Amino acid sequence: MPALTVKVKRFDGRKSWWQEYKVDIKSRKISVLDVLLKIKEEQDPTLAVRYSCRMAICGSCGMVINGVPRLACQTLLAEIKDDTITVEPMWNHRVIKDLVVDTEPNFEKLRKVKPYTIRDLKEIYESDREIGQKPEELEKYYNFAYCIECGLCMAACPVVATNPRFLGPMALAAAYRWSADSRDQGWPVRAKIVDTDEGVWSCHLAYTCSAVCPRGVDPGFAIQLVKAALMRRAKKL
Amino acid sequence: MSSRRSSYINVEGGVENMRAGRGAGEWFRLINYERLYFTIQRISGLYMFFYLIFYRVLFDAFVSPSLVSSFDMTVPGKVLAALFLVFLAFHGLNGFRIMLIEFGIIRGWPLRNPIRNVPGLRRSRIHLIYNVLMIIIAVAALVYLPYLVTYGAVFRP
Amino acid sequence: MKHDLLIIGSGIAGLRAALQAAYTAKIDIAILSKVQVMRSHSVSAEGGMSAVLYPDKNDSLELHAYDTVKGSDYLADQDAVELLVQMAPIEVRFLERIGVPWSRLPDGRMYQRAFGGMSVPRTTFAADKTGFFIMSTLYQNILRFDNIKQYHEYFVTKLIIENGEFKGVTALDLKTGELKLFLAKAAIIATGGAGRLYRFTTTAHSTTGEMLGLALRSGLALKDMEFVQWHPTALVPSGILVSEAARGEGGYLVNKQGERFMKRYAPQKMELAPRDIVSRAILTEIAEGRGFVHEESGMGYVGLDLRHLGEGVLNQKIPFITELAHKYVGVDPLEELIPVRPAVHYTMGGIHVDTYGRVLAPDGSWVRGLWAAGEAAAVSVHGANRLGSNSLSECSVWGRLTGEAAAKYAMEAPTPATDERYIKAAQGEESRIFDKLLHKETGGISVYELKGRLQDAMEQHFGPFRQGSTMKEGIPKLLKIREDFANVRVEDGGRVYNQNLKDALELDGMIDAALAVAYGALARQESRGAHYRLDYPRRDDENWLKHTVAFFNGGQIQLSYIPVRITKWTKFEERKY
Repeated sequence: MPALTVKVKRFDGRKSWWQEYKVDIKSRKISVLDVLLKIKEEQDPTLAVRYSCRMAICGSCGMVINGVPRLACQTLLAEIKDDTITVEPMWNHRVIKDLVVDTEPNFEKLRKVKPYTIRDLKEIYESDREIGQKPEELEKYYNFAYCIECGLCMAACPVVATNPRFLGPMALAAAYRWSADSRDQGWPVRAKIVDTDEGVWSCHLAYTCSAVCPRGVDPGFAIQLVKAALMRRAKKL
Repeated sequence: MSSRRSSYINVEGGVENMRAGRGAGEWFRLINYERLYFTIQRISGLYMFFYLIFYRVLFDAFVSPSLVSSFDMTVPGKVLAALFLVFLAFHGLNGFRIMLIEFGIIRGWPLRNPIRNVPGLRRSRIHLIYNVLMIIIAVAALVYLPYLVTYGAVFRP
Repeated sequence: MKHDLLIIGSGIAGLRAALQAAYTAKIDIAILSKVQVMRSHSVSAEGGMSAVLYPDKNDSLELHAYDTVKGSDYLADQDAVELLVQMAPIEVRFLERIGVPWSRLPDGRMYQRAFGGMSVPRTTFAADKTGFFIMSTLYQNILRFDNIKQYHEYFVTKLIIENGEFKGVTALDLKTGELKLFLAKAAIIATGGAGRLYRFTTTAHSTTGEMLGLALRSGLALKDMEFVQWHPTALVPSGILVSEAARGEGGYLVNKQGERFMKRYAPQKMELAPRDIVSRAILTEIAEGRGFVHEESGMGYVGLDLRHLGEGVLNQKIPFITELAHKYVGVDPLEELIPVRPAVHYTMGGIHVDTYGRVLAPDGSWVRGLWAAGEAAAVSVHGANRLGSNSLSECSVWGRLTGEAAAKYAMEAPTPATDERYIKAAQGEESRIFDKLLHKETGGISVYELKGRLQDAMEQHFGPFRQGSTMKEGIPKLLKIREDFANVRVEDGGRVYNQNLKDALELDGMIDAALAVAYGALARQESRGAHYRLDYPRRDDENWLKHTVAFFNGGQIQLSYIPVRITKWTKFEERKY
C-alpha cells in the first residue's frame, strides 16, 4: 500500500502552521481517527486530538477533513480517493490546540433554548406515573432526537460565521425536538426564545448543516418546521 | 481580548487562529446545492442594492442624469444592466422558494437509512420540480435578458 | 475551589446522581469529567434497560431477581438484587417522564424485548441506541438546574481522604494545564469500568479505569476485580459492539460449517444464554478450527446471521447495527454474515461499596462523605457475570440512591476548611506531575509502548480462559511494567491540552487496577461466571462463595475475603441454559 500523506493544521497557542506526516497503512478500511492516533503514538505525541468512542456516537472528533466538516472516526479511508488527507480544526470555533476547539459557545446556546421537559417539576420527580406516548407521536420528533452535539452543524453554517449570536442549528433543532415531544408543555416558552432575530429568523436556508450532520438529524428542516409553526401561530407543534 | 462582535468569546493569542472561516469568506465554501443558492442570493442582493440605489437612483437624481444615460448606451453599461436583470430574476425566484419552504408548503420528511440518511428537503417532489423550473428560467433569463437590453426597449434613454 | 458535592465521572450514573441531588437540595454541585460531559462512554450502550414494568401474566419482581442471581453464578448480594429489581421500574418511568424516547407499542406502552439470560422479555429499549438517548436526555436535563456546574475535561489525579473522611480531589484542567484543588463535603465516584486494560475491547478509548487504581492508592478497596466480562459479539477488527439486541430479535450464531453451534453448549436458550457461556462457546469453536479467519489481523471469528430477520426488523428495531455493519466492515446484513468475536465489555468488579452505595474501607467502615455508583462500584448486583441490560438499570438506580443520600449528607455537613494541609498536598501533587514534564531523559520509554505492553500482557495471561501457570508468568510482567513506569518519558512539554501527560497519568492508574485483576484471578481457584480456569473448571461453593477484596498494604496488593449476603435463593443450582 502506498504511504499516506496527512497534512494537519497545527496551532500551539501562538502561531499556526501546516505540518505533513507520512504514514504507512495496511488497509483502507480504517478511519481517519485511526491514522491520526497512529501518528500520535508513533511519530508525534504532541498532536492533540479529541476522541473517545471511535464509533460515531459520542461526537468528540469533529474536524474538517478535505474541506468538509466530518467526524474523524466515521470517515473511512476508503471514502477518500487520493493519498493526501488535509485535516484542520472545525470552522467558526476558537482553536485551543491543534485540532481541539472550544465548544463552550455551542453549549451555552443550547442551554438558552431550555432543552428539557417543561412540565410540573414535582410531577416529574416525585410521582410514579407513566405518561405514555403513541408511536405516531414518537415519529414526530424522533429523527431530531439523534443529535450527538458534535458541533459540525455549527461549523458548517455560514450564518454562525458572520453572526456569533445566532443560536445555530444545534440549539434550534433541540428546541424543535423538545417542543414537538408530546410529553412536553413548553412550546409557548420556547417560541418566545426562538422567535427573534438571533433565533430562527437568521437562518437563510443554506442547508449545509443537514448536509454534514453525521447522524442524519436534519437540523435545517427542524428550523423550517419551527418557522412554519411560528407563522401559523400554532398552539402546539 | 474579546472579539469585537461578541463579548463572550474570548480569544487568546489574537484573531489569527480564528481566521479559518469567520466572516464573509464563509459564503464561498460550497458544500451542497442550497449553499450555492445562498451564496448567489447574497451576492445578487448586494449587487442589486448597489446598482439600483447608488447608480440608478442617487446618481441619476443627484449627480448627473446625462452621464447616466450616456454610460447606459456603452457596452459596460449594458452589461451591468443586463446583469441586474438576471440577478433580479434569480433572486426573486429563490426568494419565493424560500418563502414556500418557510411557510411549510414545500416539505418532505427525513429518511433514516443505515447507508445514507436523506435530509427532508430532498425528499419533497414539489421542491424538486420548483428547482428544475427555477434553473430553467434562470438560464433562459441569462440568455434572453442581455439580448433584451441590447436590442430591446429596456433601459433606453 | 469549594463545592458541596463533587461528582467524578459523567456517565449515566453520574448524571442521574446530579439530577437527583439537584432536585433534593439546593446545594452546589460540580461534575468533573475527563472528557466533555456528554461524551462519556455510556453513550455507546445499545441494548436496553431491564425492568419489570408490567407484572402481569408471566413476569414478576421475584423472577427478575432470580434471573439476575442465577446469571451471576450466585455470587451476587441478594439484598442488593432485590433493591435493584424493585427500583428499576420506577427509574424507567422516571426516565420516560423526563423525555427519553422509548420505543412503543401501538397502544402507548413501552415495548420490551427478550435479552440474554432473561426468562421473560423485560428489556425496555429505544431502537438500539438506548444508552445514547438516556445520556442525551439526562445531559439536557441537567441544563435546567443552575446549581450544577460542569467541568469539562478535568482529569482527577488524587483523592484526598483523611481519617476515614473524604476531603477533596486534585484535578488537572486539560485546557489550561493547571492543577486545581477541589474541596467538597461529599463526592460520588462514577467513572465507569476498565475495558482498555485489554487490547480487544468494545469500550471507548477513555474507559481506562485509572480511578480504580487511584482508589487503591488512597486506601480504598476494590471488590471482585477478577471478573471481567467478554461480550460475545464485537466486530472484527475494530472491536465495535454489536448489541445483544441482534440476538434478542432472533439472530443466529453460525460457524464455518453453517451450523448453529450454540445448541451444543446451551440447548435450551441457544443464543440467548448468558454472555460468559456464549463467549466461551465462540472461542472454543474458533480454537477448534471451526471459525473463519480475518486476513489482515489474523483474528478468528464466527458469523452473526441476521438475514432471516427481514428489512423491516432491521431498519426499525436494530438500525444502528445495520449501519455499523455497512460502514465499518462493509457487509450488508441482509445478504452476508457479520463477523463477530468476543471482546472485553464490562468489569463486574469495582470499588467496594455497601448496598446503598457508600464506599467502604478494607476493614468495612464507611469512608464518610464518599459514595460510588455505576460500573465503577461493585455493589455486587452482577456477581460473577452480568446479564445484558442490567447495567443501565444498575447505573440509574444507584445514581438515584447515591445522589439523594449524598445531597442529604452535604446539607448537614460543615463546610470544608481550606486547611494548609490540603494546599500542601496539592502542591506536592503538582510537583509530582510536572516533574514528569521536565523528565528530559532521552532514553525513556514512550507512554504508548508501555500501554501496549500492558494490554498485550493482560490479553495473553488473563484472558477468558485462564490457567494457573500462565497467570503466574503474567504477574512478574505486570510488576516489571510498574517498574518501567518510572522511566516513562512524556515528550510533549506544553501545558495547554497535553494529551501525552494525560495518557501517562492514565497508565499510572491502569497498572494498579491491572494488578488487582491479576492477583484476584490467580488466587481464586475455581471457575465461576466470567472467571474460567482450565485447571479448576468446576464451581466450588464450599470454599469460594465469597467476594475478593483487594487493597494496598505497604505498596503491595493484599487480598481478603468477605461473605456473600444471601436472603432467599439458597439452593445453588448448576447453570444450565
